[in-house]
Order: sequence, then structure tokens, then C-alpha cells
Amino acid sequence: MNASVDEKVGGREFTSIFLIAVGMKLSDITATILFESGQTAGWMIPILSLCFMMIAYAVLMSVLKRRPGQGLPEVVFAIGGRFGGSVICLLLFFAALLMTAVTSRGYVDIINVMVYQRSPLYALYFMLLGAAFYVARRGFAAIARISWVLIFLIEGALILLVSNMWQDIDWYRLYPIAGSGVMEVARSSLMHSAMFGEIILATAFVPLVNSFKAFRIGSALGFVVSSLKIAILMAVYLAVFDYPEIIHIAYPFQQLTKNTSFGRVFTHAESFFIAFWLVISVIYFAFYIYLLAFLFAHALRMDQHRKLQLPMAGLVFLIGLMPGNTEQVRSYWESLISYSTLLYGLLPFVIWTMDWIWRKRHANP
Amino acid sequence: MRILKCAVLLPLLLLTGCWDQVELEEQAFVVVIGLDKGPGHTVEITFQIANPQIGSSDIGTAEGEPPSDTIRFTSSDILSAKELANTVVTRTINFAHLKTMIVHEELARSPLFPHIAGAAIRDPEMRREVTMIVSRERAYEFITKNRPRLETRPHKYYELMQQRWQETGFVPFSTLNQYLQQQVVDSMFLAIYATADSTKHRVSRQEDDYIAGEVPKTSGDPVQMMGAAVFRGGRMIGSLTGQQMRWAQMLRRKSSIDAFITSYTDPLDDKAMVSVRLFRNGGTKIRLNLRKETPDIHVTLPLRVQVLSFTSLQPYATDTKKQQILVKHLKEEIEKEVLDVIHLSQKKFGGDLFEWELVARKQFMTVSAFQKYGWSEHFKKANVNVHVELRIENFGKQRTPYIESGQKAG
Repeated sequence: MNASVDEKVGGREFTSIFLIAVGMKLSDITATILFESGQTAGWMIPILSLCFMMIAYAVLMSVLKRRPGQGLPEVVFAIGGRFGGSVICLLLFFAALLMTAVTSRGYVDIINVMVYQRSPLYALYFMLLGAAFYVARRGFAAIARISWVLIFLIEGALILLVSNMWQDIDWYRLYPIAGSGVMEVARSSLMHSAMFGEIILATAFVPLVNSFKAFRIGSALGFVVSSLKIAILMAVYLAVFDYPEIIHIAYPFQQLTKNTSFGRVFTHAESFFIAFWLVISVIYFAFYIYLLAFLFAHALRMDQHRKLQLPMAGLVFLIGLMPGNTEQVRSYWESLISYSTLLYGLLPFVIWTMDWIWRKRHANP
Repeated sequence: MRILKCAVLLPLLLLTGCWDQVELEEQAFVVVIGLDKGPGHTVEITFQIANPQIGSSDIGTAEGEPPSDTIRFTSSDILSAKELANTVVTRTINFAHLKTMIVHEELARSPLFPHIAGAAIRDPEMRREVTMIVSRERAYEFITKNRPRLETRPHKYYELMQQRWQETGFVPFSTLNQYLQQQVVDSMFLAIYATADSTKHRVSRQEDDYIAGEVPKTSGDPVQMMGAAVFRGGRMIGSLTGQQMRWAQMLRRKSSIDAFITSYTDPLDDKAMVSVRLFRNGGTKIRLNLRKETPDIHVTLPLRVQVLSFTSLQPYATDTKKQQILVKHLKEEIEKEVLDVIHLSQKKFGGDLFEWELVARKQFMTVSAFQKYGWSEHFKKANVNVHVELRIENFGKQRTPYIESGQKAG
């Protein structure tokens, strides 16, 4: 049963993980928050954010390139020593932990508000994380393979959704094109660039991928396509609902699925989309639980990271239950994103400098 | 280990009976909701609940039951009335199949209405695609008087009516989604205007120059839907006749109607009428010049015409000179009607009925710049000129009229 646990994954499976894990953001609270700061230009923010994140990513990759086969934790331990390595890994771990807790709570809120209103929050949360843990337990290769199996179905469902809404789309609603102003949009993109922070975290998985080339192409492709996907879907939300109505809608994706129908007979198409959405949110959080256990184990230099998955799921569950209501989740998410932007944006430069010092020291003994 | 896993997973199956379980047999599906103004800050809410057994193979067990039941409550908002309804109704009230919302004109005009509608949409069962109809009399009367003969089931009635609206264009295709959208922008929202009281009817030579209640109809279902209720900032401020409504739709960039049949006086015979079917020949083009304090708006409305009938029996089809007269006449008439609607929008309603706000937005870089400009203030003052591009496509399946051929023979 566990034969595949340490199996390496190929480029296309690796890409599809990110297509799912990052692309998922089009369906959660991210969209509404971005419209609040970007107004009618909110849909551009994902693209600009990724551009900012790509700079940090490029710097980090220049370090990783010199150490083939090593992931981020191995590299920071090599150049930062035991203390430096642990600190950086723990920092990343805490950023990822809080982010997972807040996002997963956001998802449970969506399920609670839009579908199961009378079910208690903790029960829904427990079931979501339980399922995610079950998938994470199968190992990284399993998550990757499920993603690869499902990716075409998911993208197909998205295309179906957009083509179904085509009648209601009026692209003129994207104007005024600069939204809240060029500077404001750029500032907001920079502030929110941590929504692609996974691109930094993903470098921990270098040893799990077949080749470094597959990793590089896979992660870049996954992130670029996802950010375009988020931008297009956000443009569709705007073209359907119009600004300022869009910021009044709590969950635009779910609202969009509620507005679609397949002909006159199948008028409640949201049940079709919600099924897809639930399946991919399980994969999404499975990826996160795996990542958390992986990072934490490396920070403390443990070998058995898989045993940490259950405590991680429990930790996410406990932290996630802390915010009082949906609006608090939003504000926690906002502040978390701006702090982690700092972390994800600066860390690669710190690592690069450490690597530079390390190389200097080791160049002339 | 495996047994342990089964022990964890199997009880999950039992959870299906908890919390959000829904028993199909115990649901009461509200298909129409009616809103009236109640005493104080309350609303009177009417639910028309469909009887799913009517029109299905299960009708045998429901003999003698009506196709729907109507109940009315006074409550502070729609959602609290939902539970209150269970003091009477045996089944759980469900809005999942709610298609139509009927609002009494008095409530629609009151400042309370944006609050009622805005509050109702929070319920996930309440869909944004609900059709909104403004009735001239109380919504309760409207619902109880509406007994369509050809459709027993109420949801079918509104579903089919919706298709017809899109064909005729007498009423706008109005949903709660549009209402909520246009409540917060400078454009005005058009809702279906209807009545179940047809005693006020009058006769006009043009078949679309009526508002609800005026259609000269003497038998059949009392309900008629004609014209539009105009909303601004979420409140009703006036009404449009069917004709004005059609042009308002045609002047929008994206309209729910593409073709309709209408009639004009005959240029060669005052007593006669020409009936034509008008098609939108491509999109309406709107050019704005916003640099000046009084903006210029140029509207180009491309139309295709099928001449259906002319009671003057003039040989329009074969006589090109007379055709030119007809084309010129139709152009002038249409331009006059269109300009009338635009002036009505500018003067009477003081705002933009045609969603030209979206076109104006294109000329601004930022949202704040556009908001500072104040589109509806400038629109009121704008010089609008309308150019109709008209082409007669065909004259129906008869070429020459009978009188002319008869004269030739004699």
C-alpha cells in the first residue's frame, strides 16, 4: 500500500498539483478582497502579483541551481548551519501553517454559508480535513497523480462554466481600465503577492521531482497558467456582476455557479460544480498538510515526516476554528497575506546573500 | 488497522441523517413570492406554493387538490416569514425553485424596498435569477387573481411568459441580479410592469403604446404584463409604456430583444397603418464626446425591416418611388419615437435608462475619476442625436396588392 510513498513524480503531475493548488484561489475569498483594493482593475492583480513573486523566485532558483537534487530545507541547512536552517524552515512553516488554517477556515465557511447552513462548522471542518489527511497520507506521488487525473476534468468544468455564462458577460464592465489607479493597483499587487507564496514553498519539493528541469518548468508553468486562470475568471466575475456590486458578493465563484443553468430543465447547475469544487479542495488541503509536515520535519531534522501529518491536520483544525466569523477570517487573511509577502519576498534575497557569503568562504580556503 | 479505518469511515454514512438532511417529500416549493407594504416597517409576504403532485403521474393520490396554495403573512422580512409559514404549512418552505417575485407598486416606491430586497438576497436559497415584476395592485391580489387557463402549474406559466417577453419586448427581462447591480450605479433599472386589473383599458392606434392595465382586452386571464417600471437607486420612480420600453431596450448595447412587430401610419394614407417587424441589424452604436460641459451623444441604430402588412394597399413592393417615401417616413417616425424616449429619460427620470454609463466608463482611467465626473448629471444635459439606418428587407409573401391588380384588370 505504501510502496509509492517515496516515488518521484514527473513534470506533468507536478505541474497539475500547482494548477489545482494555486488555481483554487479563484474560488475563494481572494477574489473579493482583490476587487476591494483594485476596483475594476482587480482582475489584473493576480498577474502583477505573480510578476513580483517571480523576481523572488528567480533569485531563489539561482541558488538552488548550484545544488542539484537539494530542496530548500537542505540548502538552507547547508548554507545557514543548523541554527539558520532551523529558523528559516520554522518561519516558512509558521507562515504556511497560519495560511492553511485561515484558508481552510475560509473554505469551510463557504461550504457552511452556501450549501450546508445548519451543519455545525466544526463537523464540516473535521470532515474536510479528515479527507485531506487521508489523501495526504498516501504520499506526495499520490497527490500528484490524483491531480493529473483530475486536472482536465476541472479545467473542462471551468470552461463549461464560463461558456455557460457567456450571455451574461459584458466586457464593458471592465472599464475604467485602471480601476483604483495604476499606482494603487501596483501597490496592491505587491502587497498581495504572497498569494503565490507557494512558489517559494514549492522549492522544498525539489528532491521529490524526477529532474531539476522538470521542477523548474513544472512550477513556472503551473504558476503562470494559474495566475492567468485566476485573472480570467476574475474578469468574468466583474463582467457578469459589475463593480461595485462585485464587492457586495461574498463568494463570486459560488454565486456564478448558482447563476448558471443547463437549458431550462437543469436549472440548478451549482450542485454539479460544487461536487468538483469539493473534490479539488480536498486535494488542495492534502497538499498543504503534506507540505506542513514536510517543512516541520525538516526544521527539526526529523526523518519521519509522514507521522507528523495527523498532528498537523489537528493543528490546522484548532487554529482554523479560532476566528469568530467570516469577516474576521477575511481580515486575518488580509494581514497574514501582507506579512507573508514580506517573508516570501525577502527570504530568497537573504538566502542568496547567505549563499554568496558561503561561497566566498569556501572558494579560497 | 483496516478494521480501525472501517470503524472510523462507516459511521460517516449515518451522518447523512444529520443537520442539513432534506426529505424531498417534506418540502414545500415556493414558486412565486409577493411583497406588499404592511403596517409600520413590516411587509406582507405572499407565498404561492406549488403542488408537485399536479401535472405528474402521482395525480391519482392528489385528486381534488389545487395546483398551488397561496398564503399570506405579515413579517419584518422575507426570511423570517419563511419559518412563520410553518405555522400553517405542513412542509418545510423551500425557495430553491423560486422563479418570480411580485412587488406592489406602493412598496416598490417606498424607501423600505431596497432594504427588503437587499436583505432577502443573503439567503443562499434565494437566487439572483429571480424575475422581478411590479404589480399595480397589491401583490396578493395579483397572485390570487392570476389563474391562467392554459397553464395549471404556476411555475410553468412564468417560465413560458419569460420566453414570450424576450420575443415581444413589451416588458423588460428583469431579474433581481440586475436590480441589485443597477441600484449602486448611475443606470436605471427596468422591471416588468403588470396588473391583474384590466378595467382601465383604452384603444390606441399603435399596438404597443400602453402600460399595464390599458391593453384593450375583454376576456381571458385578467393578468396583463405591459411596459416597464423604472427604478433609480433601488426605488421605483415611474413607468414606461410598451413602446418606450422597446426603444429603451433597443438603445442598450446588449438588449434582451432583437426583433419586434410594431406599426406606423401610412405615409400615403392617413387612415391606414403599416405593420412592420423590426430587427436589430448589429449592435447599437453609441459615440460620446464628454470633453464639453454638455456632452454630445451620437446614437446609430441599425435596423432591418420586414413589411408585414399595410392597410392602404399601396403598391409598395413594386413601386420604388413609394418605397423611398415609406423608408423616409419610417425613419422619421422611429427617430421621433426614439428621441421622445431619450428626452423622457433625461427630463422626467433625470438619469440614464440605456446603460450608456458603461460606454462612458470606457473614457475614464480610474473609478474615482468616473465617479467624480457624475455621469447622470451630465447625461441630463447632453445633446443627443439619433440616426436610424433602415433597410427594407422584404414585403411578405404577396407582391402586388389586390386593389391595384383589380384596377388594372378593369
